[in-house]
Amino acid sequence: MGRMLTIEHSPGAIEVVATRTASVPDAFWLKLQSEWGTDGRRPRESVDVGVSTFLERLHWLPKFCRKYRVELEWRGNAKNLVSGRQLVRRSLREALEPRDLVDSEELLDTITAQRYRRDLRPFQVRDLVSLASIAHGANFSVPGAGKTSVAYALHEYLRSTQGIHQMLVVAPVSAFESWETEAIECLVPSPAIQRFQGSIASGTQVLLVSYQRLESGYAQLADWLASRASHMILDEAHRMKRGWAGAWGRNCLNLAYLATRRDILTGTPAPQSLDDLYALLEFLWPGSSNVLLPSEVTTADEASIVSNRISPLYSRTTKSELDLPAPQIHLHKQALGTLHGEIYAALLGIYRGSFGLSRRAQFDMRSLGAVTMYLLEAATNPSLLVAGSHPSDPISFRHPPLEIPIEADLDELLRSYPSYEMPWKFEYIKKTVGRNASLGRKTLVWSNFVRNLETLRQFELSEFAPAIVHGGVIDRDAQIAKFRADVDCSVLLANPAATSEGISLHHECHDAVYLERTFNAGQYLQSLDRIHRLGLEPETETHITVLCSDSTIDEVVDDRVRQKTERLSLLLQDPGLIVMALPAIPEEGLMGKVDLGLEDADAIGLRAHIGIE
Amino acid sequence: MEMTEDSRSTDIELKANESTEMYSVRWQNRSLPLKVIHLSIDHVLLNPDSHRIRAQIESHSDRQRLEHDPYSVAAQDAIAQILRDTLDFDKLADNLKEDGQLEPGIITHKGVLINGNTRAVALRGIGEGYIDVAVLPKSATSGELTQLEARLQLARDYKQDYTLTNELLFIKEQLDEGVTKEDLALLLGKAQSRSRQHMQRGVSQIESALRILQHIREIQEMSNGTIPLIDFDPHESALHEADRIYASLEGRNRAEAERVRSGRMAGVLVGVTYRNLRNWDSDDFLVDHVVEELDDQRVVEAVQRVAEGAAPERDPSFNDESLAILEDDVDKTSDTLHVDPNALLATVASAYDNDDDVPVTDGLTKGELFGHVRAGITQAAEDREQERRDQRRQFDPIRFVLDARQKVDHAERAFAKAAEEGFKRGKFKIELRRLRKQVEELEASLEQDGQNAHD
Repeated sequence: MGRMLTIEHSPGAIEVVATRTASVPDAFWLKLQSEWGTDGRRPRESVDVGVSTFLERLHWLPKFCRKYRVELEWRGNAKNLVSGRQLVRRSLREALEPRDLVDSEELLDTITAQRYRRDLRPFQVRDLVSLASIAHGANFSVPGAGKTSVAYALHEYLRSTQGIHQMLVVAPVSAFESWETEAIECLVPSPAIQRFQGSIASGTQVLLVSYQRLESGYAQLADWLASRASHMILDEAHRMKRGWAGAWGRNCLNLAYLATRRDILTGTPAPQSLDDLYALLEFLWPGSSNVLLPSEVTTADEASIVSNRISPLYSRTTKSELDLPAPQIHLHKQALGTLHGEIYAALLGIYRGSFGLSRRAQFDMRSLGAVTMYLLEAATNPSLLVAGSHPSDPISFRHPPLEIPIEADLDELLRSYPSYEMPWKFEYIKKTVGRNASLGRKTLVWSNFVRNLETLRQFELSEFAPAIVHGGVIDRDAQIAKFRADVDCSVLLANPAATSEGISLHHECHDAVYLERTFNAGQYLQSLDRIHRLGLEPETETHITVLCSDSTIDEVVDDRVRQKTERLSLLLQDPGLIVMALPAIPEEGLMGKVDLGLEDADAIGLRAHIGIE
Repeated sequence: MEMTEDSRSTDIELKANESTEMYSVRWQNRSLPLKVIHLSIDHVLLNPDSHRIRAQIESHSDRQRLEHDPYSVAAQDAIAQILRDTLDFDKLADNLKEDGQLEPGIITHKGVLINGNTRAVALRGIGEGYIDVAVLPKSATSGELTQLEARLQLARDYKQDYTLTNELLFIKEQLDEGVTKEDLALLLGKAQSRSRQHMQRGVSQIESALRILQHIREIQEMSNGTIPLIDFDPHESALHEADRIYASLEGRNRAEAERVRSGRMAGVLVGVTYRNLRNWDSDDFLVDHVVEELDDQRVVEAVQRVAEGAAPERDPSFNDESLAILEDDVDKTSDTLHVDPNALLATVASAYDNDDDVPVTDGLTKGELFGHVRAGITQAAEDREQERRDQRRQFDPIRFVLDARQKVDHAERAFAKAAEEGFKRGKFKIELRRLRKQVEELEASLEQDGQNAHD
């Protein structure tokens, strides 16, 4: 047998298998192993290589094949994988160059001649035109801009121009209803639409599946996608941002190869950092995200360079284009009470002591999480420190009660706290909700800690018949209905983890108060959109109040959220994002630090705050 | 004195049956007690597969014999000499003389030492007649022996025992055996634990080792096999750094990454220090400094000749139809460079084994070629460093003021806190006034300088 390298890929498999005949020289094989790895059961003769690594690392192959006279045998789907990748590259090259847009009149005529019936706003038409003019599209419009309607319009266009036959929508379950109602409102006759529960009815045209469900349904979904020309959409696409590192991302990326047309929808494409865009772009343009994004983006300049590079690849309706009246965002700063302040200082002292000694070893990301949690608790409600997390807190928030070193005075302080003081934020909220209620206004109160929500519900706010939504609430829909309809119910208590996506309250509520925020800027931005979105009456005043304890982690968070939002808005060339989402900057301070450009990561800010720089 | 294989194993088996002394080793994740026997020092065989001497055997002038007839007297003598040449041999011999043998060695049932090779040679050297050895079960396969050796030797002080190339060979062999990168990273102490952070770093070191070995092999091929593996051992830092820069550039520009790595390796072969090679971090260094310094017509010609020779000829008898679907990596940059580092590397590699006075091309000896290239790269590196120092000095004033601004920023925050706790206002005010004065003086000298510049 001659020198032969077999490259095999079964449709839907996440790995390619490369196998050599015995006569393939070791020098060739060593190169292959150094590029493709040594996974597999018999790495001396055969290695398994992940599809993306394989496609990213093909460059050496022709040269070495010629040098060592090794021929290739393509098996299964392998050849399609390679040519598909080249097609992607070509269309990406085209997309990045200035191009002619589809004529909007023609486009609208085409879709109305089909089933499309809904009126589109001008910005929606603009988004639609830009998406129809590109091979794979990203719609980064703000929540409430009608991304679902535009997606159906686009699908209708692709059906008649590119022979696309069916549509797979991956979305959070909370968004299913909206995809179903919009299908009926946008398309006449409406398409056969189905939620994926383990089987697919024949004739289904629109298939909805949740991110969770992808894993168990993978084989069926892959078959379905591959069976006809398919349009695959990721709604709230930032959910798969972990890419190959997470199950949701991995499934999405593997299915990507099977769809003829791919789209992603999200209003917060890179809520935490630019790295978050990586997986999203990888889904649209497999194998190309490392060309589009630099390995590290640290400064605003770099962010704007990236932004310019990728701007032809997405469309975005900004919040200002929705013509919404700007919300009034107010950062309310207040000093901690005497005892409260002492508790906070004592906690800082403990951290300074323990991290000061061996800071490198201990101050890693894991301990950072715990430290953040305890400091956030201490800045708002010190009683939480000894309580530990609530069983209904989101998993990422779970933590044991604080372990207090015996020698610290913190113990004594914490014991006496409840009998002497009430956290100022609780008093403030009680006052605000009361005032709003007397004016007939409903208030949305945000906290990340379920214990805070539950405490407020049972005590401080009990007279206002509160509704409550968090991970442990079973009758979520009933609670929201109560907040919407019940005149006595003047307050909704919610945590962003359970509520930041998919609920619209902008008709009922125009006042929100944040008990505290975390470093998760994306979640914060999403939560703002619950009461401030398309459909808001023009003369409505929306009031957002963010509570911030002086000289505590609240200030660090505010600073970091501000920076992250600035970076995101630079990236999306949308200065409105800053105006809309950030509290007005209090008189002095923050600006200096920002323009020195010295502090970048949250960890640095936190270290500085604790005093272990 | 030479024993047959059979009589040796029979002797070992008999002794083991009689022995009551036990020694435990970890064997397939449990502790396995082995019989310890007292064996004539001449009856044990030195292990030709020991990973500690792999590279030396491969680089040995009598490699054929060592590989094909490793248990012959001549081969065993050669192995003994290799072991005597290892770094810690003398120290070990001294210790044995003083304390005697403390722990038993380990042999296979056929008498091949898995652990204790160097000790056996040292014991012979000091005139000891016997060696204590623990005997492995007959069932042990070669894969298991490799694992055992790894655990016994690598885990213990392995840094001293293993040269760079021996470690690379070991890693490659283990990966081929199907050991995962993660396990290997743990075994070799490249990862301290299974935590994600540790693992990431450990695995990337294993991947790096494989890349380094691959590149070494490629360079050996360029030299027609004349560069022995052990010649790379003294350049551990340079190799690691060349790979690091290669890996970091690769994502952005593969061709540039390859040129930088080739340039550095050419530097290694001609004897440029690794500190100087550090300056070769991009094509900029090549274009701005190296090309100028290597401006010797004869060197450029020699490199070009090799470059042309290495140009991929399309071999008509090779059927490349199956490659049609792949896009060739076309990089035009190399054509525009006066000196292509890939060709430079091939040039020095192919001349490496020659004597200094052997001509490489007409009128250029190997000694001259290496001298020019070494001097050229070294000079380029020195120029670059000088340039950096100058640049730094230019920015010093700005840097110091930035530092000061940051400090002022800290003061502002500290002030907010201190204000609550009986803070000395007067003293603070005086210091602020002094600060302002300093700033004014600084501004004044800037103004002065501006006027001077105008005059």
